[in-house]
Amino acid sequence: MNLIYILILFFAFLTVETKNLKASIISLILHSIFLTFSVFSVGYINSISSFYLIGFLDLLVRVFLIPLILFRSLKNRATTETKPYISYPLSIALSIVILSVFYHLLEVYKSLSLPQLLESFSCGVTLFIYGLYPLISKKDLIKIVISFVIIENGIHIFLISILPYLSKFIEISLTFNYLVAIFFFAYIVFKINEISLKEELQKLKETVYKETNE
Amino acid sequence: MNLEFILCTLSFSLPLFASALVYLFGKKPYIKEYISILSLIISFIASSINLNFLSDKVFIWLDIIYLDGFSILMQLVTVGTALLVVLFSINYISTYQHRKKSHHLYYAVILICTGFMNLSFSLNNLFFVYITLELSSIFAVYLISFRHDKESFYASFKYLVFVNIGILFSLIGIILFSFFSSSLILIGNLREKLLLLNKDIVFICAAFFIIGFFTKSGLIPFHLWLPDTYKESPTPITVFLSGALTKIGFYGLARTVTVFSFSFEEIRTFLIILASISMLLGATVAFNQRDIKKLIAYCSISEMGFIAAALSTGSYEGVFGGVFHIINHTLIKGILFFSVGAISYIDGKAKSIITTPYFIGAFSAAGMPLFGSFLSATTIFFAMVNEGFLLSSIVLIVAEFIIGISLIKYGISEFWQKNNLKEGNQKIPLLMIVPILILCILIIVFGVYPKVIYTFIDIAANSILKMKGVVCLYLRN
Repeated sequence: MNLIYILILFFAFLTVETKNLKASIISLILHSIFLTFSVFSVGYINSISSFYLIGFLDLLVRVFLIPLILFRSLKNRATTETKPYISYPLSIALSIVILSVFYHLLEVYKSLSLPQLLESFSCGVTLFIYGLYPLISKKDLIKIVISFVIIENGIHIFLISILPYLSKFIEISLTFNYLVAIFFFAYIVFKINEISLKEELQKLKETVYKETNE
Repeated sequence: MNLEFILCTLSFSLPLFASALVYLFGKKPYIKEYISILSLIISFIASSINLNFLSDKVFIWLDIIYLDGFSILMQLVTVGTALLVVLFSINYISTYQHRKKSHHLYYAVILICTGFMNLSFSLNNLFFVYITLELSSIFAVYLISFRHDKESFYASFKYLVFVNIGILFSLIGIILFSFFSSSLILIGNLREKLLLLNKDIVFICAAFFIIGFFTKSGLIPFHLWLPDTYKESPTPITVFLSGALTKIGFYGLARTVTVFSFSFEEIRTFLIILASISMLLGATVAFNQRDIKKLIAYCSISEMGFIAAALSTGSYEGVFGGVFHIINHTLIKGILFFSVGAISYIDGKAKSIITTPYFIGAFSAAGMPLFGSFLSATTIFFAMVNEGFLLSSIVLIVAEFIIGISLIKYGISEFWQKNNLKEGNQKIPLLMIVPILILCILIIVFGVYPKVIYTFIDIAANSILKMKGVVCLYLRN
């Protein structure tokens, strides 16, 4: 199971650090596939049948719908991310430090203090903490939305590891909220891109008009 | 199904149903306005009757609904604000001709937000309170970006990021609380579960709740979304945000952190320190603002600090003053923002009609006698002095003074000193003046004859204090 969690974290890292936004969303899909796989696996290992429903919901929302919405919001813009506040090498180093330190610390804490929790606990909390990092360091709107997705995924794993028998209605409602939030994020990003494109075209027209007059 | 149940559900089901109707049939002329106003009036009447029915009792239905005086008062504030916002919007929104095709959606989203907020005031399970609270916040994004320009989209993006991630912290608080108390947390059983928890766990949960609900309310240091959002939203929506949407954060605070502070002195002190920072910094930053909407936004942050401090004192006077100030804050911000909206509607001409309401708003924000805010601010002041927070109570007075100076200074320069103003040929429509007048009358009535509102505030304050395990004296006189 540990390998799955490490893969989830690794693809979260790739999602955050990849400059190309399309590649970043593809990494997010892989991250979500492993997340869904972990939900099914935890359900199977611990004989919690309701996890299959959650896994199916994750597959639908996190693997298909969210990336689809994110791909749509890439329309009318360049696919390279806007330069972040922190340089890439430093950002990669920081990401590795955050992911490895928190994951290992939480693993130790869990085994010592909270052994009754499901094994996905440390992965969930690490994802939540790691998601806050691109939120501060990235300038690109899509990357900020992606960081929100990572935070949400972290809380989702954290929730199912800490309260595995929580009413499924609550889980479904939380996923619905998440989907609505992402929809609105994508709507705003799409509109901002549309307006920016119009402005750039207008500028270009004005420049061409000036040059032809001269 | 008894009458009580029907009345309880009407407050949220009617706006939600009306929202669907407006969405489906709102494109036809006048339908959207009529449906919105009618549903909100019925909802308001239902909540008012409910408050009289319930008095100091609690209505609980199958662990799903929990309705007490405080919930109903919050519903009344929300529905009342939404009603005035809709009335004001009828003429105001006509200036948004480029969004003519979406005007029905504007009303539908106001109704859906009102419905979800009222639902969140009615629910017992903290998870469901969180879910409905978040939904109302998310839908508000459509209203904030209604102008459809780059600035409004950036402001709504900022709002969505900050508020969504802020509220997620309160979700973590709920998850941790549920885990350590080994059961789902209901508003009705929160106090008894709290007493079984380890002190450190309570502090951790309280920290998460504070981050979450302070962000939702827009209190310092989690306020970054608030000034830009208020500035870029259409004016009626700014009133809706300040009068209703931020109040849901206080509802969350009153239901969780206030209950924690009854038992833990450290949480109470920490909250009052944070609230004092909001009071002082909000007022200081407001003083330097040139944009009127940002100025009022920072004044709002400062005044919300009063409410947070009052709700944390744990005493009857404090909670009473806090609940009273929630109402006054809604009225004051309504008057000020509506006045600004009316000015922008007539392109800055013929300001004289708006001068009096603006100054009523400014003086009541300054906590002057004869206005409701004077009584609430004084009650909070004495509550804090009695609880030993003398420094915070001084901060409150200083903040009120700075707020008053900032608003009056702006008013004088804008309404009296600019001689280049032409007399406008465009009049402010009656439907825009009526909401301002209603709010002005209410703030004066609450200041001159407060007995009309004291009964309801008393019921609401006692509903919060019930969690302390002590029902306080009925201080109606």
